[in-house]
Amino acid sequence: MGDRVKELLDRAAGGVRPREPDPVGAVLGRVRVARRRRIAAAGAAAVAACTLVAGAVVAGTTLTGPAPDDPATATPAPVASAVTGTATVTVENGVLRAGGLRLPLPGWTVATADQGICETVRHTVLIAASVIPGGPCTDPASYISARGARPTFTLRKGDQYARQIILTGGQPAFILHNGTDPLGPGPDSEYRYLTMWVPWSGVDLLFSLPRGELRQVVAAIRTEPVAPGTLVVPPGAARVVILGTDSEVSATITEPARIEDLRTWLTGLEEPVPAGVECPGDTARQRVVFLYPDSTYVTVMVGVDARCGEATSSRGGRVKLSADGWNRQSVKVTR
Amino acid sequence: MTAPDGFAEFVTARYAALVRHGVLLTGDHGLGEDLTQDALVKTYRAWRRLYPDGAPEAYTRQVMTRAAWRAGRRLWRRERPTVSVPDTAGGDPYEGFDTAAAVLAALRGLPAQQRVVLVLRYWGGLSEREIAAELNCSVGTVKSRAGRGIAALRRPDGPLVSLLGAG
Repeated sequence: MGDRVKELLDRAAGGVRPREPDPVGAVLGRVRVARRRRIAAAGAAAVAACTLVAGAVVAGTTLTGPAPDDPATATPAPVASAVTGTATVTVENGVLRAGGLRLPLPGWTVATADQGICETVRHTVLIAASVIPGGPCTDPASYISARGARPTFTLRKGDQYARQIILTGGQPAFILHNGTDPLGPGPDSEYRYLTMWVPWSGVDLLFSLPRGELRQVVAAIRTEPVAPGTLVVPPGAARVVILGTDSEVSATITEPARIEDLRTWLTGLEEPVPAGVECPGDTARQRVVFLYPDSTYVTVMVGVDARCGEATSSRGGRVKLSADGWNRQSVKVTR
Repeated sequence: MTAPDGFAEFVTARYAALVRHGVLLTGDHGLGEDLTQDALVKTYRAWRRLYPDGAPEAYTRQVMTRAAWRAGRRLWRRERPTVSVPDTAGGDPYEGFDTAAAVLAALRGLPAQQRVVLVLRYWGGLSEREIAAELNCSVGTVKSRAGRGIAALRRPDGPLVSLLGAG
């Protein structure tokens, strides 16, 4: 038995290939982030100490003030432009936390993956549950499902439309819908599903809520700002699939030279979008999915609306782009 | 920021092997690579003690092992870690299913402490006494975790029943 277990573990380990193309850079990046957080924490502690002293002087023995980790008042350090981590999702003291994302959910119940979604009470956060929009429940249920998402995650292909929103604090989020935007106009009481992927926080969220409450919950999300940067798309993809704004596959590229030409063009776009700036008219985006031999992905979301010319990579970076330039390049590599 | 002498070379040379260790300890590729990078941050901080006369790889593996072992106690502190990191909500149309995937799925299904003990015992080749010393626990704890882990892997409805036989 022991030999057989060892053999199986050897087979599992033998198929593992690191997905990080620059491990030294990734580790040094984490060292920098940890250092910044320590400095920020030390600064916050010093400020808190000063506040306590000042407050004690003013108010005698009655000290009140915001909680030290109040998501509405905390001033987080910016996260790196490149996407590197997978979040561990937690819900503590009524706040859902995942990477650089905070969502206050006071009074919500927390359930885990092994609990049936249809049996949960209203206003439940499900951790790591496999939930499919429109799943088996006969009645609509108010829940949020939160799962860690790898940097190499990809949006589902098929009948899902995709667009980008900017969350409060500055992080872009990719959202999917079935053609009727759940955040768009409509009756507040109507239940809507919303799938949201926040790469910089390493989390994938599924909301099932009445439209009015859904808007409030999305507005309550707070994120750490992202440093501006150019697009990150590693070399070596074996295939590229381009999905139009209608979510249909418009082209597939397999020739290595054309793939590299497209990758070089995208990563060569030099004008980063300043942190937190919205893209007006951002209703639907094209998706350029790079598929790598180790079954990992990079998705570049391309906005081609006349008012919103920009691209965002799921591995990091957000840049301005001209619709004409993108059209010329996409025709060049797919003809 | 530049890496201290020898650090970049160490990471470059040993990263793949450390990631394999991390993936088995967590049962998940993304979490395993994350565990590896977190441990390497600690190795970076301890580098002056570890290089050139120390054992940076052994140190990194120990950090990873203890972090994975501690993950099994998080529920007691009311933290709620994700148990798996699926790539997509509706299944990945590009991802195949093979023995390696079945083994990782089975590892993911185990409690963290059982998984860590099985990996150290059967993949790392450590004795029960060595594992107990590594994890700072009793030999009895190691034995019970290993026994329960093997029984779980051989469950008749488990993903490895066809490969290991029912228990």
